[in-house]
Amino acid sequence: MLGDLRKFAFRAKLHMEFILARHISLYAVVAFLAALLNAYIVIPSILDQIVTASMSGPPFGPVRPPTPFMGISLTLAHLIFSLVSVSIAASMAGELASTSLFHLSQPLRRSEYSVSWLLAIVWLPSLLMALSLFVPISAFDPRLVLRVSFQPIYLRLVEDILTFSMFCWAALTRRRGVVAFIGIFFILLLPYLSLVILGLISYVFLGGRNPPSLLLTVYEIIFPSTTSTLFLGSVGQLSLDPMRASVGTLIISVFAQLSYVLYFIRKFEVK
Amino acid sequence: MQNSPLMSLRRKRTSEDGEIIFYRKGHSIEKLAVIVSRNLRKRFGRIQALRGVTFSVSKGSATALLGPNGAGKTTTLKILLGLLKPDSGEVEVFGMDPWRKGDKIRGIVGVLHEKPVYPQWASVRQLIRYAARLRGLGEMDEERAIKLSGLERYAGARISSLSRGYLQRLGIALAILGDPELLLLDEPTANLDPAARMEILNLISVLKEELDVTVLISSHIIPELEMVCDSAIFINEGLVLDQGSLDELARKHNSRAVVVIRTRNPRKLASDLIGRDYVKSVEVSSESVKVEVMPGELPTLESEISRLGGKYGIERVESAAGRLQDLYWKVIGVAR
Repeated sequence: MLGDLRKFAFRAKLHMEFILARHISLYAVVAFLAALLNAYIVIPSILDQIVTASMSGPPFGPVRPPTPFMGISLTLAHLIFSLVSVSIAASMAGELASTSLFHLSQPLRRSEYSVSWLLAIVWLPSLLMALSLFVPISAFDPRLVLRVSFQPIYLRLVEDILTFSMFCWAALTRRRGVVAFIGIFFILLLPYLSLVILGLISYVFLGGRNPPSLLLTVYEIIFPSTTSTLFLGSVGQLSLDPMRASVGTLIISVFAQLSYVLYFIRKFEVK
Repeated sequence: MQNSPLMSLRRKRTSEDGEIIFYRKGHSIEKLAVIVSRNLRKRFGRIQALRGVTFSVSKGSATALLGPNGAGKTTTLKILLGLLKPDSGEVEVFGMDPWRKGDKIRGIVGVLHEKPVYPQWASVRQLIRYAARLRGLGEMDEERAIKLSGLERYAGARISSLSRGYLQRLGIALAILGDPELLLLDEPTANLDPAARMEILNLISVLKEELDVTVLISSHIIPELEMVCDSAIFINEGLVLDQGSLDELARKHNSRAVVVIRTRNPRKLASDLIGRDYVKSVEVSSESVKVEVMPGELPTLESEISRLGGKYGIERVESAAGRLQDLYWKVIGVAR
């Protein structure tokens, strides 16, 4: 059992290294630039907060609410690493249409193959995003990490993990164009388009009253970070607290990822 | 061939490191069979690719999988590797179900696909190293595969820069990596020049004869198949029409076999052979004798030739109109 697990981890790692080898330097540069950008935006903001706080109390006092700059930094990191995730998913679609015959003719299980792509599409960009936010701050001064509010970062990561999981499913179409379209749709359009639709439902069918709480809850669960950003200051209007909604997001993410792996193991054929 | 690098690097499989248990059902044809397929069916949309394919491949044999385009050869090979899931029927490779235990099967099976696509950005060595590491092999195995497939000069080259012939060699290198117990080769000599074809065919013969590797080859170049194969499976429109050893098939289908014997004494050899009851006709030219034998009697002639080799200065024996070619037209031609 343990030996099987070790073999699974070894082969999945080997395949992941191979598929990332082509673009690994590009991803490293992107992560470095994102970290620099975050450092440029967040560190002065935190320092400014410390200076302001020191006027009225001791430095490095209790944690303050997040600065508005954190939101900009998070949005930038989200956009950058969403593009990284889409590009890896497009690579997977390309591989499934061509070189998967080579890969799956090797002693590599379909589970190992699909999990290595899952790690590359979902978990690597999420990890890089988190690191690009925390590494520059802790490199500057580890104590500054405590000044950052973790909730918006956590919500952003949870929302992105669900979105990136969808890209794994998109890759199964074996078409790069479909992955690119779904990527742009999920990152740039869906979160805002859904709100417009909710607004229209509210205006046309409900005479301007709030849309049904079920619809709003579904929206909150799928987009916990977007919800908490857009409804900042009016969280009372929400049917769920974003942190509670994120539990649902995590459950759906786990389901999306497990079903993707199970589909691959049971149904995927190399034609 | 005592000092063959293949021999020296051959791994002995013991029961501790996973001895291969061959399929046994008491049925004579399935005894010691490496591959057993029963009533295999596969449909792609409206196309019924396989309509009940039944065959077996015995251990140590070199079997030709013959049939026209669209007969179901590639689909069969992909099912044997666990790349496609059959709709119904049973298939076992080394006693294992390829769809469920595909990784174990692919660990001991070398494969060359008909139209392989490799990651263009990688180098030859990178790709072979990746495949070797997945099999738990080391650098020595990588080097041996590179050397045997004649890729030494191109080991550092990018795959995108390789000609079609060298891509085929890369496929061969990947197929023979480690010590495969079974080789599944789909058009192994396609895109190769005549010299490279001979090299590859010799390599297949060495693997089969010295290392007891079972080989299943799908190809359209029948004379080449005849050089290495001792049995055949004829498949057409998703059905196996016939299968067996070439001798059995030759007898069954009353197939003709003609060999050209290059010798220093063609007239003497011809007069010696003409009296044999298994010889149908003899034709003499300045350097050779063309002999047609009765169906299924080629092995008798072959043993006779090896006995008479010294006496008549026999230099070479070539297959002129091969049994396989003749069989192909008799089996597939009738079906069509």
